[in-house]
Amino acid sequence: MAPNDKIKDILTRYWEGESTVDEELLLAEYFTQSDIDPELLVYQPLFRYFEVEKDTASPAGFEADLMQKIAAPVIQLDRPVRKFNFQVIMRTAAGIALVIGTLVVIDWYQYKSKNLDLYADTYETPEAALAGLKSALIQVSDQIDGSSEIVHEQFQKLEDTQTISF
Amino acid sequence: MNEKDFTLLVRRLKDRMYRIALAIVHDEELAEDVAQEVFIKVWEKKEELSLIENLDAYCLRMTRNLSIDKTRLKHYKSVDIVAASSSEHDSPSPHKSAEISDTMALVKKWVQELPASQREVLQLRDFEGLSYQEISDMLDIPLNQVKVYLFRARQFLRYNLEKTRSYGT
Repeated sequence: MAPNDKIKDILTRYWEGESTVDEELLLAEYFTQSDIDPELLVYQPLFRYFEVEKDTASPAGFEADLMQKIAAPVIQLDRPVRKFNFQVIMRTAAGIALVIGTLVVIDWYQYKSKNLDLYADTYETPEAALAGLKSALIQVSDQIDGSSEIVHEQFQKLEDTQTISF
Repeated sequence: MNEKDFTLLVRRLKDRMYRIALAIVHDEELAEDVAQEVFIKVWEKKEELSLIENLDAYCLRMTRNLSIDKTRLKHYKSVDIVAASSSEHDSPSPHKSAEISDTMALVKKWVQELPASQREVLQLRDFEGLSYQEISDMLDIPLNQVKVYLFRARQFLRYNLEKTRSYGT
């Protein structure tokens, strides 16, 4: 088979996806030369394009840069160690105690002043207080009696109404 | 894995991983970062690597997945690879060279127009020279699906190339 015929045969199989990798290398080689069958010239840009793509290489210094990154020790940031600072803790505790103490004192004064108000303008002696209490209880008792009479009257009216109805 | 084995792995895969990342993220710096990040992760897992059946495929898959994650975070500018066309090949006449370069730019455009699944398979096969099985493993799709995607991608490119010729003559 003439060289061009062989190339044409490979090319036919290439379009069908039936050529081997080695045969495709032959095609690539054929289309990079200047002496190409005029009938096949139309396909030259395709294989030239493939060659250009194949020639694309990683940038210079790629490997050195990579190896440097790999060789560089991994910098691991240490966790900040929590130091036990006694002075800071004591100051904080003292501050908190001061605030609580102040609140307690203020509350106690308020409580005391309220209690004083409660006892202001009352009886001078226990006897007078007892007499006042008795008087108040008698008044309450009278009110209850009055209320009981009203209730009794209302019940009586209700019974009378029921008798009339039957 | 010791440092020597790791260095060999880096030398073997760095360009391929960079290209795979670049094709997805379209940003040179980011593609470099992705490839380096993958290697660093591999190094950090060096004790577990013996459990991995195909380390190369594992690295390429990680590169692809990480690149996709990065593009989800941000949109990146595209890189004109065709503009950096290689001068190592035999040089045709200036007119012919310009014509080829124009069509190469079109090819790049057509490749970008392919559905992502077809583009990925085409890239892994025609740029990286991976076998169907390796592509299947890497993309986690059935072998037949790889062939279907590749067939469709190549047919699309062929159709456009031949259409360009018929318009040109």
